[in-house]
Amino acid sequence: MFPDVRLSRRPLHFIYLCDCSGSMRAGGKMPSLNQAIRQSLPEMVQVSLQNPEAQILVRVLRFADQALWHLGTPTPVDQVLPQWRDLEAGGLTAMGEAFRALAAVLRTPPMEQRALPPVLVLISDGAPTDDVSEGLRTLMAEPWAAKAVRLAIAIGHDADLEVLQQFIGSEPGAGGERRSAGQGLDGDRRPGVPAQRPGRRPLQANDSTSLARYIQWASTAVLGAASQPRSQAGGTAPDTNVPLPDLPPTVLDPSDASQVVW
Amino acid sequence: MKRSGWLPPSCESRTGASHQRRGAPCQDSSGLWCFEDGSGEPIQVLVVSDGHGGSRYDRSAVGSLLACRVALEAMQRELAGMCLSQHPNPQEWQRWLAEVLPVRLLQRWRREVLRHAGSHPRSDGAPPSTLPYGATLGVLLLTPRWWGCTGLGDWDLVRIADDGTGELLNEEPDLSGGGEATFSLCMEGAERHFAARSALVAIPAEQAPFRLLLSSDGIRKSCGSDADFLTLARHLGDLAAAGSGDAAAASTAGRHLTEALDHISLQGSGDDVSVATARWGRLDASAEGHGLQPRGPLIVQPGQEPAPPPLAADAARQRPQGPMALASAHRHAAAGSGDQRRRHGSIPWLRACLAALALAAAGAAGAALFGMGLFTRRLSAPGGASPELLGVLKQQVDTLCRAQPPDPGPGEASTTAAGAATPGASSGAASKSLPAASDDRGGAASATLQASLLSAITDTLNQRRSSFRDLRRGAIRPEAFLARPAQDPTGALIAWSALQSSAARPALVPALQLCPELREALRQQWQRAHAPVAPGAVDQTGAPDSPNR
Repeated sequence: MFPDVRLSRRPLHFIYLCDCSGSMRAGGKMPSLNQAIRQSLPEMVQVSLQNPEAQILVRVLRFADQALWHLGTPTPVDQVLPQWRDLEAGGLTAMGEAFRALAAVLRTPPMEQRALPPVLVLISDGAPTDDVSEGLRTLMAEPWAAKAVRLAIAIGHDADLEVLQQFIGSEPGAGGERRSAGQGLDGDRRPGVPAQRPGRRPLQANDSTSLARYIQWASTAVLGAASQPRSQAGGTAPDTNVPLPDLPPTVLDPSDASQVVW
Repeated sequence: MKRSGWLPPSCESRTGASHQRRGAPCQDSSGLWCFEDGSGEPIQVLVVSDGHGGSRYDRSAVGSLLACRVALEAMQRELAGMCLSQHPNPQEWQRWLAEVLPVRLLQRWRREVLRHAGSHPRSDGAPPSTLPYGATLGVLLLTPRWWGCTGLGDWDLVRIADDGTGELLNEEPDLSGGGEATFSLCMEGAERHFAARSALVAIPAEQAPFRLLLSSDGIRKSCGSDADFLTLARHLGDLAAAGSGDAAAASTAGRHLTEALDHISLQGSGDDVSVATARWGRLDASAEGHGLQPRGPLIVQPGQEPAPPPLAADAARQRPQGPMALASAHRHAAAGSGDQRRRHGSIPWLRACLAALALAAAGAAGAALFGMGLFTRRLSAPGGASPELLGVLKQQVDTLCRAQPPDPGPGEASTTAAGAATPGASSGAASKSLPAASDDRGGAASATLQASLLSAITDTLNQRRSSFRDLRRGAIRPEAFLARPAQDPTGALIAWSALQSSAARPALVPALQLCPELREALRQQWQRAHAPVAPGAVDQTGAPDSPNR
């Protein structure tokens, strides 16, 4: 007789951190973000079905004047779409507070000891208006934050790429060099040519199509990779603790400024 | 009054549910070996290894298998000739487990891995590296007066007391390198990480029964909590213990254990799962007369071909290990998955056939596909040679050329730092120092190694002198060996060497790379079989130019 023990799939927490500041109203950024997330949800369900060993749980944290959980309960991915409410823009950019709120839920407990590395996706179109450094320190002090797959999507060219890069972590071999805005982004490459280290730099979304594409990439390809844990030799892990799949080819040629929408 | 001791151990590995779904191989391995030290005291060694998987570690299934094999062979090689009771100081053994043995293991594992990498070059031209073979390793060493553990990686060790209470004794501390980061054999300086996982526990005279359960991370990560894990560990221990009776009970218990492991993976992490179980308890007649007899190594990795007893050359020079070492492997399809396992089971009546089977055992060792041979089988055969023949021949060459020379004797060992710390030894194998760590050898030592390897291969081939002679005389045709190479790999290799220079049979004579020692040993055998051989009539294998004339 098999004992009465709780065997469980390993939880995989997928958390969006969405900039809902007033600037997101401009150029249809917020509707595009809502649309991109909504469209990605059915495909996330498919990823979940293809990886039944991982229990994918979704949360959404919005930050404007303050950080608030838009979807605060870890929700099985197949239950997100029926209860999805669109995000609304307005206010400042309390990114530091968002990092602190995120840190609080990445502690163990409530995080499960045997969880898979979480996937954290930060989406922003501007610069923080609060003390982001302190918030980031608080966040990165949590072991689960350090273990997480951290991705950042910069909406438009006003996004603070330095902060987004700090959230991701310094690129291996970058030597701490500061990168100027618009240079060295994962979106800044020839169409169809994969980045050398996908996801290790902020993804530059300059229009609704590229935003949707990166959201889809993060919520399906990356999620799928994170759902299939592979041990890694400690100290030899290359870029992240989950081998990230190649980025989708960009539609727009970033060198063509006439096609930049945001 | 019955005395207490270690009861027959068990081990099992199963392909994870997610691996099965994706068609990925099992990258877990487990193994055990029961043998005696120089004074006849029983020793058990249990191992579990977990290959990392993923694209960076695409040969980790081989790395895991080699880790188990190397660990078992190293322990047996170093302890079988000693008398453990003459080294009662636990601190010495603690240090041996933490510092000395890891150096040995890593040297041998790296050597085997690089040998495999060299013989199986990557399609992208990348230089041979241990990285793709990354794997963890957990080792349990059980003696009558103490038990110890060592290793590195994310394995777990649980102790189950007689009342069923479980305790997690040993686990990998959390690493900051990433969510799935673990210490690995492929890391530079991996030896350093064994110390933190090494422990030695004395067994008091009135020790109550208990069990030890060594498991790969797939089991613990399938459980909702550590309490669930400990409950599960007790259950798995019960299943393993249920198989200590007769053959029918063992079969039933084995099936229940594999079903439980499959269930755990399916309902839990989906990862490969391995468990090795040791039991301390009252020794009854069956245990003393059956399960604790010296036995050959057992290594389990689902999906692979049967593993051999010790390497052919090793078997030829090691002292007899009892019937278990000679028991032929049998395998069966595991319930529900089609996995193949192998067991070197106990067949008591074989004791009477010990001498008669010795030669067969050496041949069977080559017949089995192991480690590198698992990959050589997949090679297409050039020149029309049968893939089976090519695979077997390569495996046999590899087996013979991989044979390791005996470890340094007490005199050599005493020159090392470890040797200096060992207790004073008098003479003889039973009193030699604790095995030393140093495996470094200079040029002279390298020559000694080569000579030892040549000697080991010669020992093996000497048992086949009649084959050389009969082939030379034409009493046996080479095709007789080559038609069924798996049945007699050594014979196939001898027949191959006989046909080397025969241009009329290209389809039967695939190209093989021999190590110099094997080439020389074959040359000597052919010289012996054929009295005067002109120097120009001997090809690279030493075969006469026309053996069938």
